[in-house]
Amino acid sequence: MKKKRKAHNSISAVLELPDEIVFDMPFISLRGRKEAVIENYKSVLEYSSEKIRIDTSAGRLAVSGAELTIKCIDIQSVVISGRISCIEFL
Amino acid sequence: MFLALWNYICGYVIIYVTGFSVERMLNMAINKGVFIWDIQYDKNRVRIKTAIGNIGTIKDCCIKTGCKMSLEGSFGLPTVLNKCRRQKVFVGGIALFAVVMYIMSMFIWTVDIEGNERISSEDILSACEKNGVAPGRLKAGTDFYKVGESLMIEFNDISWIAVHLDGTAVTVRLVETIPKKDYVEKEEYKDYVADRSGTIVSIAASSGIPVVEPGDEVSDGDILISSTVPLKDGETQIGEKKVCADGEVYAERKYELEGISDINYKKRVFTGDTKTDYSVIINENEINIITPSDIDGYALKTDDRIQFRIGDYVIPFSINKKVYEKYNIEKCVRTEEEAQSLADRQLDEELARLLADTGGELSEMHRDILINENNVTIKGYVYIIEKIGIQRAVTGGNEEVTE
Repeated sequence: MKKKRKAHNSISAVLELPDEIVFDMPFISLRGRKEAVIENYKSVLEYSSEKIRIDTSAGRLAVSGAELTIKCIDIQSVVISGRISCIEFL
Repeated sequence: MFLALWNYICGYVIIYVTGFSVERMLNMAINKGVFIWDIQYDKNRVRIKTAIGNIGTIKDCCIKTGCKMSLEGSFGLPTVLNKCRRQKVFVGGIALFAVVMYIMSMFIWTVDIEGNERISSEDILSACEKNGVAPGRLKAGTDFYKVGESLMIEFNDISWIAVHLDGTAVTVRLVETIPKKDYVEKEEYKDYVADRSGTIVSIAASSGIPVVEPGDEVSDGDILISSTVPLKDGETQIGEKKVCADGEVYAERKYELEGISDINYKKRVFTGDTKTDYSVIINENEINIITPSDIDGYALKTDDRIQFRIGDYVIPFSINKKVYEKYNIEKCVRTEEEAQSLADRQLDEELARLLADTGGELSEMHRDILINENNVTIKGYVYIIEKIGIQRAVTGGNEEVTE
């Protein structure tokens, strides 16, 4: 498993491929503090208007704030909008 | 925005989900390929929006995860159309409007001309009409490039032309050629001769030698400015040169005018009885089915045509209304003053017409009044100063002749 990961590492380094494609790493983008787009997520673990926890390949990600809503969600990405105050990996 | 519009067009439902593991239900639904948007946490329940076709999948997920779902309602265009099914007239109106709009947009509605100065817009419009470009004609099948080409051929004064169609409006943009200057064939020698008789008032030659002076009587055909110019060396003539004589010659001419007014005359006195005649005009063909009987003793008072239009497009259908009014003929008598005033007015009108025809100026006028038993006649002797003279080719004239 470690060997496979090493091979992936070297390939991505040589070909300069982004990690979110090779390792299925989460790709998080923020638009100010109003909107966060999380791509390559696994599942939604917890959902409330103050906190949304999302499982990713890099660990569990918690988005805290107020009036949080999931603007849209599909198998690839989730868009969280509201007043975001904190994003942290647990 | 486009996503929201797409969701509205496709239609969507709002579902409330309650239970211990709403997140599980969401994950399950998403893994089954359900697209969910606008998820809001609302008083221990989650409000979600999804496509109408996904209700079954969401229901399955809720059963499997032990959640309860309740449907708030369906929204979007399919729902609106479904509601409109009952309002058949409204839907029919919208459909009819769309059809009428489509049909209307198949025609040309306006033709605008831009850039013309010397060529009149009416000429270009009639040429366009010949080529199939006119209000009311179908847009389909019209080659606007060819129309431009044929206009170029028809009008020599056009140097560039473009015919554009924007929606239902056709715009003809053109550039005219530089106007040709009046070209006088100097090689053709001409005398400047009188084209009518009169007494010369003034003469100014721009080319050639004047042969008459102010005060001279001239008649039709007399040479006013000669094309033969003598060439002199001091006082001695050494030859002559032929030119194209030109200039401005004004002469005073006498005219006799007359104004007559009868003392006894007949007058129409309208009684107020009217007869109306309606007719329909389709494509300039008049159809008059019911005509008023016996209109002898009636005079046409009004003739109105009601023309129907849509924008600039004239519909080839109109209604014509003619009103005839009955009259009686009465014998009347004018006083001498009235008759004289009327004759005077006639004379003034004659004079105005004469001045307009000749393009001259009034120099002098005498009036003689003749009063008879039956009428009053005023004779006017008018002197008008007007331009006389035309160029006439000299036969046998040639180049410079020197001794």
